[in-house]
Amino acid sequence: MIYLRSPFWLLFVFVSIGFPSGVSAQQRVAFAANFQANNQVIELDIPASLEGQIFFILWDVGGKEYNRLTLARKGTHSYDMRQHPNWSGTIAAVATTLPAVPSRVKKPTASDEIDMLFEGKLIKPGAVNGIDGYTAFGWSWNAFLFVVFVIVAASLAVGRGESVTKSVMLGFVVAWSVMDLRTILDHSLSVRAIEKYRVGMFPIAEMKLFADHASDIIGSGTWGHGELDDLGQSFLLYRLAERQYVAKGSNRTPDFWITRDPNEGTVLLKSDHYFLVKKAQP
Amino acid sequence: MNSVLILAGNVLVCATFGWAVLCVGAHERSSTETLFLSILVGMYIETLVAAIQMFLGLSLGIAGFTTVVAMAGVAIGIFYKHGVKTVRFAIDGPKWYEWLVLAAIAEKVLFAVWQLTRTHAYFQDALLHWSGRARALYGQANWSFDPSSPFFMGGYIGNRSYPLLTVLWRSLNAKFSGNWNDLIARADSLIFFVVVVGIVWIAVYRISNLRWMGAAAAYIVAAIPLHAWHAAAGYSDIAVEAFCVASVAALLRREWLWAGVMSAGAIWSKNDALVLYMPGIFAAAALMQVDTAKRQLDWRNLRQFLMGFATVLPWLAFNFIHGLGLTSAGGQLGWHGDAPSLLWHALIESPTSSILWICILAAIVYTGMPMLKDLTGRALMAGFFLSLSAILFIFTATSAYEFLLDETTIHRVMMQFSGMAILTAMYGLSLKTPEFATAAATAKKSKLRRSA
Repeated sequence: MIYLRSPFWLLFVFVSIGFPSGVSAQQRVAFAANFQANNQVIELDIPASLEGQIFFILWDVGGKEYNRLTLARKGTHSYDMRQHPNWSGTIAAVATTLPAVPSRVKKPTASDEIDMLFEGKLIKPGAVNGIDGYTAFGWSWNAFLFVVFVIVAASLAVGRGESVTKSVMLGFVVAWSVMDLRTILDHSLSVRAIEKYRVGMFPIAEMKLFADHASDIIGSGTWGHGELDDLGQSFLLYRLAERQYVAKGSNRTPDFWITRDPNEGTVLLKSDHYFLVKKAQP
Repeated sequence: MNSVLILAGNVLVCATFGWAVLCVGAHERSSTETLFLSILVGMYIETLVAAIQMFLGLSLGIAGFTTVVAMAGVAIGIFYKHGVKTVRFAIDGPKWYEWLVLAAIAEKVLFAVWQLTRTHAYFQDALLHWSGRARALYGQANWSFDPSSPFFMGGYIGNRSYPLLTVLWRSLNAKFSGNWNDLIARADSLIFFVVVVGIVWIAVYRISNLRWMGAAAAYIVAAIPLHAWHAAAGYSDIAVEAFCVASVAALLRREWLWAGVMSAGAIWSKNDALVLYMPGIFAAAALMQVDTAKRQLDWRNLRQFLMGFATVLPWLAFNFIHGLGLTSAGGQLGWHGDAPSLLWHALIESPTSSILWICILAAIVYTGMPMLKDLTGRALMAGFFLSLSAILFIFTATSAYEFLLDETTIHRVMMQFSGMAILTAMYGLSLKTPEFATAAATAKKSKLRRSA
């Protein structure tokens, strides 16, 4: 355990903050401050009751806050932070949104490295734009694969006398296979997260039921919406695309209104963040 | 279940129509090559013809019904007149490494099927531009072809300048099944994934005559990490990739018309293709016509290519008439000083494509000389570098820079390009492979035996 040496951490403890929709406003619990990120990971002792919960690991570098969405694993496990580009330099403070669980920052051992391979994977909105990085025993994943490629290609060319072209191609295919094995493992961990823990699609898991019930209520009526977060709005527009929409700026008044403020009218349906209301003038 | 049957039925209609049309006249395609190409031809023609009818004012149901009936009629007519032509794809049972590749591909397909059946539509561009607009079109309540309407081209939910291949394919399937669901919203992505992998496998086998090389190429393209997500995401990027790779594969078979049709299909999938890939593919097609001895261009083949490309003109005309534009980024020119380092990160350091691009670039450089001495190699290199230059220019010197900065599009665009790039690199590597000449001679002999 790294003990906190700066009064700064007090600012972090038990401060209620707002999160993107789908995760309730949660408390953050700081557990380390003022340390070098260099090759450090986080170890948490999570009780069985919290297994499968989605939580954030948050950290502060140079006054800027970063976060990482994480799936809780029961027991003592390490959580790899090194692939995150902003996990670098001096970390002013690090916290999680889990209720107080024994937590520490540490240099990973070989068994931690293997343990981190099996960390649960959440399906995130950004998965379609890019893949989360990894490290391999502290190495950049791409550098590790490149070394595999060079070693295999050189062994084939020098050791077995294969042609350069064939050696290079097979070297690449072997390195690519190592990468693919990791990808396949990730796929299985994503499947497990949803099938075992029923974690839903962050951060709109709760919205599907809401949108489908809202669709039934709206029926042949019209609907509109107030200010919503980006992904939430996209999801509602999609789920309700068959219901007559009243575009913003139109002088028509929709029959139903989806909003984050329950005081905007008579609430007909509610979820954690959204309300379907009926009101005279939106 | 109903949706699965409708999807399968529609794919069958498209493939049958495509097969019939592709088998008119002489060709040297294998059955498998024809099958993959026919699926794309069918999907392209079905959605394009339905769209033209809808531009003219017909409803989705009528346009879809008449299109499918017409396609079935054309297919029956062709089969009746010409008979069902097949070319046997003479290949032994899979070798051990091909089983491994098939297993790796099956994992991706299973993961995609799991996503399609156990998760809902989730990724933002699918919710808005692709499946969102498709659902609005299917529901009819929020769709209009009247430019004065806020619902024109589904503009209230997505980008109205985006073309309609995946949008119409999804709305038509929903119309045929009588309801919308999240399987219909994304299932075509899996079809495109399988087509990309299949085309790359067979095309590389065709150019190299080496089974291990074809299998390696198929594995490389299938294992690109982003593909497993795009095989079920409901985006159109994988459709662009499928059409582009089909176009290049058609060029390699010297099928100019179908190369043009496939490049048109890429544009009908997403306008990006017009700027990013069309110039490269056209240049490759043109260079393949250059008779270096006579220093002449064979315009007849190029004309066929352009005729195929011209099939997308109804969309381009509609887009132009309504001033829809080609991109959501605005397209303003302007250099961004940090763009090269961001590109370096995206292409070389990012885990998204891993070591793919550094190795492809190295392969192109390594095989440069034999490629330049070879007619097809020169053409492929020109196509590769023109497309790559277009991508680099768009992300460094236009307002699309913002998509490089936030890494929301750059990796998807590189994924669109990856199939073509792998084909090009593999062509170069096949020229440098000593087994290639032997295998080519053996294949020529066995081909002669087969035709005898």
